[in-house]
Amino acid sequence: MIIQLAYVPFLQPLPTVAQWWWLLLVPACAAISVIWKAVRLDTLEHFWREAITMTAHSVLAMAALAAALMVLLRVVIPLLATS
Amino acid sequence: MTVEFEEPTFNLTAAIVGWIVPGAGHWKVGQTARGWLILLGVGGLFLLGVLVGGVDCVDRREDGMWFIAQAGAGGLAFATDGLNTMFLKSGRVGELLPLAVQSGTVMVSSFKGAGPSNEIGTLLCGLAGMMNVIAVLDVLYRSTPTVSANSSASNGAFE
Repeated sequence: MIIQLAYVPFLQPLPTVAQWWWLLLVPACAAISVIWKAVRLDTLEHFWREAITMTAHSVLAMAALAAALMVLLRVVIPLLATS
Repeated sequence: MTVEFEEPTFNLTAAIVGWIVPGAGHWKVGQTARGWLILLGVGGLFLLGVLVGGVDCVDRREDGMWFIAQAGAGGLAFATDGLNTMFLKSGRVGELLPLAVQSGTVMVSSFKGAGPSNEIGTLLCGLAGMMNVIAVLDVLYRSTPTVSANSSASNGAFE
């Protein structure tokens, strides 16, 4: 008999993370940007604008890196193997 | 408005306080808004890690190298490790199951994390710790801002 226990937040690991783990990049980048801008900015007048801009830059840079790696693995390396 | 800064001083007490409670060092040197933002960032990142990986992703004994990074978050890391020992490792929550290892059999909690959830949770808590180290280093030499008397209005930057 298989017993399915209910998920207990903070005590058990989150189930099904394996399918959408890459989405955690966004909150991780947001938190890092908030801390970095809180430390680096001289005044906090434009804090949220700066933090959101840095988050967007980080996420876009990671996405571009992922796309470049995918092209390398799926297009460039197979071409090298056949040539 | 003119914002003037005092000469930077060596704020060792603020750095220690900031390590124990993320952001508290900045409160101590009079930068309350910065302190709250640091607490939001470090606390949010750490809680996200624990939510994803469970309290087992902070383990001083089994994941010692990772704990070095996580310990940067000070009280948060030590409290989570304490909760892990108190609830999971003691078997108070879940049950202890035998696990065969090379040196024999050890008892592990049925709530013990494994796989990507645990890895990502461990990583996020480690990131939170390292970011708090940056905040602690910042407060170590941060000068206290003073708004001069001839200022017309506050921009809300400093409290």
